Amino acid sequence: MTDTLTISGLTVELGPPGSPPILDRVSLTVGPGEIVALVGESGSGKSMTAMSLMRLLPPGARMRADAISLGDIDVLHASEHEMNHIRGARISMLFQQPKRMLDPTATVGAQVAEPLRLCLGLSRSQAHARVIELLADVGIAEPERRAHSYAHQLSGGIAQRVMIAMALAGQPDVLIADEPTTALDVTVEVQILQLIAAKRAKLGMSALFVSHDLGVVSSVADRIAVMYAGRIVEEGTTREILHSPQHPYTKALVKCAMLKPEADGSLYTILGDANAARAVSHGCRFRARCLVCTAEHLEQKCESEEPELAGCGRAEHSSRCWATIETRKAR
Amino acid sequence: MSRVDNPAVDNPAVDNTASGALDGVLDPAPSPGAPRIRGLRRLRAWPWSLRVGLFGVLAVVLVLLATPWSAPFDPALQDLSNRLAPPSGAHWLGTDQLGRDVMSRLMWGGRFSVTIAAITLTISAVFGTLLGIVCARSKGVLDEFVMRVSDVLLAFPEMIVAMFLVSILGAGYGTLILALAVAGWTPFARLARALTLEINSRDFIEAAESLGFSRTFIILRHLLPNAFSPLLAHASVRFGHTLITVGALSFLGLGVAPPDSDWGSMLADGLPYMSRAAGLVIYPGLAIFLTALAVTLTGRGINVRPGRQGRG
Repeated sequence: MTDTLTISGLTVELGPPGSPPILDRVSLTVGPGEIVALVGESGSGKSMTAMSLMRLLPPGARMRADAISLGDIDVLHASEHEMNHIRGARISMLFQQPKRMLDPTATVGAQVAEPLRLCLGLSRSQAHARVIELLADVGIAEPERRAHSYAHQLSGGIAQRVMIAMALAGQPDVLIADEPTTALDVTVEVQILQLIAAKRAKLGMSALFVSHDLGVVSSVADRIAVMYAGRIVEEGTTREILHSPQHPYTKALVKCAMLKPEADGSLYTILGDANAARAVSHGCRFRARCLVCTAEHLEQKCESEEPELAGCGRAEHSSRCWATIETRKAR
Repeated sequence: MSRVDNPAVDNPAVDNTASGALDGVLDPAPSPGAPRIRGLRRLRAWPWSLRVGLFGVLAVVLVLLATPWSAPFDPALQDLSNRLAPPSGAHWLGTDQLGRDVMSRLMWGGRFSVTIAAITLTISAVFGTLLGIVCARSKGVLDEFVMRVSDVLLAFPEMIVAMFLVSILGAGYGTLILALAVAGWTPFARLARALTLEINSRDFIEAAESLGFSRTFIILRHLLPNAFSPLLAHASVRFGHTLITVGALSFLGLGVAPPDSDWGSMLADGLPYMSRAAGLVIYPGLAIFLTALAVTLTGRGINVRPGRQGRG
């Protein structure tokens, strides 16, 4: 079984040469029909990973990788012209602010029709019929009327549904969802997540979810990769990540997502500053905020060297922490 | 962590109708009838500026089109025995210093003024906009070169540039239009360039890129429509300005030459007689003012047309 999406050794640098990389040797695979979630706090590089896949990095960003491929397509070495045929048709994207992702001067119908006419070469009337179909498919009531609406007349939930219709118009193999529900309220959030999960099942596509909210993605994702300061620190099935997180950062994230009050009634927070971790040139990036490091007397090791992702226990579960590795060795 | 145990994981089938109905309830209802009913039936919804402006523009265009049949006199017919006459039954707006009928001259003159201004403006707007977009997208030597040329042109008053070109190329309507267009493209290029840079950073351009649309398509379908409003506003304001520039060039003998005349040259011709026959200055001035006002109002009205342009 070949993977639908493969990233290996993705490194992205921004700013003057020598500054710490935004992404540091990120490797990730998404299997056919699988939903993988990329979780991390702001600035951990999860959106950058998504944009690298689309090859839509901001100007000035330098990207290196061993391989980025989509099935049998080499995304890393595709020309800009080839990329235009890959985007929308093989790999699509959902964004955070659905209302700002719609052109204010064009009707919803006209915009959903664009990928149909451009990528699939449908005629005007064919495209129109398909637009109504697509809009109905994503659960928009009165699609005929909605097709004549402009972005500012839509609610956030409807706008994200329209974006989903647009993203799915080209029947992509992979859907990248970059915090698709962050701008929406909680009731709509669940609907959108269910919609994406349903579409995944129906169209047999894979999805890469990017989110800062472990709670949100855990309801839809098959596997979760946790990012911290530009690298993946833990990867595993959703169940394993939630029930037996290995990396201290993942543990803290899971604890945060539980929303269980501490003894004093406050909610759990991870102390320290995530952005400071970027400047750390050697050793584990998380060590300044890590509680395990000092507790297990691993300071020296954590400071001198960062571990590779190492398997821990069950298959497909790996973590980047000395404590986990030491415990495994001891057994 | 209730979401983890969400039944949707096990049963991803979504009840489309149920969630769709819910959306309908949560959704702000679109203004009734606004999206579907198009064209003239929406006239009531048009802002007053668009209605008034469009009415004015249509009136001016109709009068100027009908001039060959409706003008009461030959605009060049002199009657030296009846110079500087006040308005009368025969000459509704009086006569000028050579006894010519002012109303007929206004009507014929308007044809020159409005046509030249419209053509000039169209050329400079289209050319300037294209150049501005190309500059913003290329951001290289071309951008640098074009912007420096526009700096030079902007450093001189437009009149001087146009006069310079007309005096080199020789008088004539073709050269007049060319000269005015060359002198007038710079603001459009600057505006289009700035708009392109701004719109390019907006999210829906990124969304369009993520769908694999080509640059040309994005420019035509997403960039231009969004740049259209400010460009149109600028064009409508410049229309009156161009009307006056045409007149000023005519006054200097570089534009519309006798026996033809336009509003600007009539204004200039009437200046010495202002104390005896103020109408010679007032009427062409009013014609320029009202035409420019109508065009400006129309431009403004199009910008506030309902349904276009998000409010937030």
